[in-house]
Amino acid sequence: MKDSKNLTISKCECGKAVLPPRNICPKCGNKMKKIEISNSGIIYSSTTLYSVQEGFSFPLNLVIVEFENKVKVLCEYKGNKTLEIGEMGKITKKNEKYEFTI
Amino acid sequence: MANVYINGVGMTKFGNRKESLQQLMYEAVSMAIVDSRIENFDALYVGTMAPEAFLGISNISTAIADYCGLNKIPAIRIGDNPSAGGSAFLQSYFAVCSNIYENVLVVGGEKMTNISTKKASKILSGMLSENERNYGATATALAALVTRRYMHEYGLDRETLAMVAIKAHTNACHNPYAHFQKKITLEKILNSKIIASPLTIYDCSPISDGSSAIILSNIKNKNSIKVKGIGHATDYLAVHDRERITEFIATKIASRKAYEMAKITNPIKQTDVSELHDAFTIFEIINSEDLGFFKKGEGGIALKNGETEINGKIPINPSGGLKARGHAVGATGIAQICEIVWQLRGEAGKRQVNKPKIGLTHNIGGFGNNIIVTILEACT
Repeated sequence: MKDSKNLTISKCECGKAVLPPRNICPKCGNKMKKIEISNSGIIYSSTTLYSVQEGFSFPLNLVIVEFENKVKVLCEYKGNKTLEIGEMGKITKKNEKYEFTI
Repeated sequence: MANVYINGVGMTKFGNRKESLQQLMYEAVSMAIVDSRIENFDALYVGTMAPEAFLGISNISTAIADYCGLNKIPAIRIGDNPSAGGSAFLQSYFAVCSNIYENVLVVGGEKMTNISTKKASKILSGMLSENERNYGATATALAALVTRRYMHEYGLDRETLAMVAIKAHTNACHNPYAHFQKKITLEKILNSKIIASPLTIYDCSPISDGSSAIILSNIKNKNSIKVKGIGHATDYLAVHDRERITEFIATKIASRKAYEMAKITNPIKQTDVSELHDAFTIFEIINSEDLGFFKKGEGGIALKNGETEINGKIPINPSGGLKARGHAVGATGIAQICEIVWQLRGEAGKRQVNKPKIGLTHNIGGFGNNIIVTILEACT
């Protein structure tokens, strides 16, 4: 199955890569470039919140996903499976926010 | 550069206080002034995270100078996160060691219980990155993510993690200034409501009101505690931007600088007591490793074996730490220093560690990304 490269990240010459994309490298201060990588990633950690801020409903599943280039991002998982560290999934952008799916 | 000494300390009981921030700071300042027997001060440093947000007060530096009757004193507010206390200490240290000021008053404080817990949590969430906030993450959520990852990487279990809180509460029974002065059981922790899996309310330091104050001088007196080393470092704002989330690089860098300045090559042998920033139970374990007391992944084992008890090999948080002493955010960094001073003077009562000569404080700002370490020495 072809792995689609449809996740935009920012990468710096120094090697640092971040998500969401940004202009200035937080490691060395140089200008970052936008590159496309696969939106497939591995669950690095996850948690379910039962006490949430205004504007959010509980339970709220948050997950840190790791991608190629050692990029990680925090986003939401809207499903109801129990997430295990090391499981693979994808992130997509919905209404300006990343959503993780298995 | 002058040697810098702590010549006076004082703090209020932390908790749900009816007094205003001004009253709490006055209480701590008064106690420190009496303790120091010094009457004239060259400057006032006020460490506090968010009086604007919690109380609608700006110009807090001048407000405190005014409230305390320190008319005309140079006054400045330092800090914008939970290491505000440590930051205020650091900046005042620079002023005294440069000989520009001789005696300075440093007061840390926060008044947080006048608003709802949810509103307080929202203000504290201001220290997270925008991306983390956008997904509804709170500091507790991030601590839960760190905890789950640590458990995965090192096999830490829920029961061992709970021991951080159990030790904290046991120690705080002997601390008249602590927010909580009651023991808690493993059973209570395991049966309590989950806030962010796997963390319960007992894994999180409370929201407290409180103030603590110290006096820094370039003159040594009978009771002086010497500032032997300082270190400060930051790290990426977002937890997910860090290479590993089971360590705080800023702690490693800040402590390395502090150890170097204090000529400490073996922290295990050359420090006798420490007050670390246990905003969440996992932090105490991670901090103890990052500071070099235990190998990576072994902080939990050491805790389980009793090594970090008051009478253990590496006493950690004899005061009860943030968990039981309380976490009035801007006050914490100074309160840690107060405790170490009392320990080094032999004035810690029933929570006294056996004859310590060198103590360490470790104060975290933001979520593990603005960290200050101090090394203090008893003057014989």
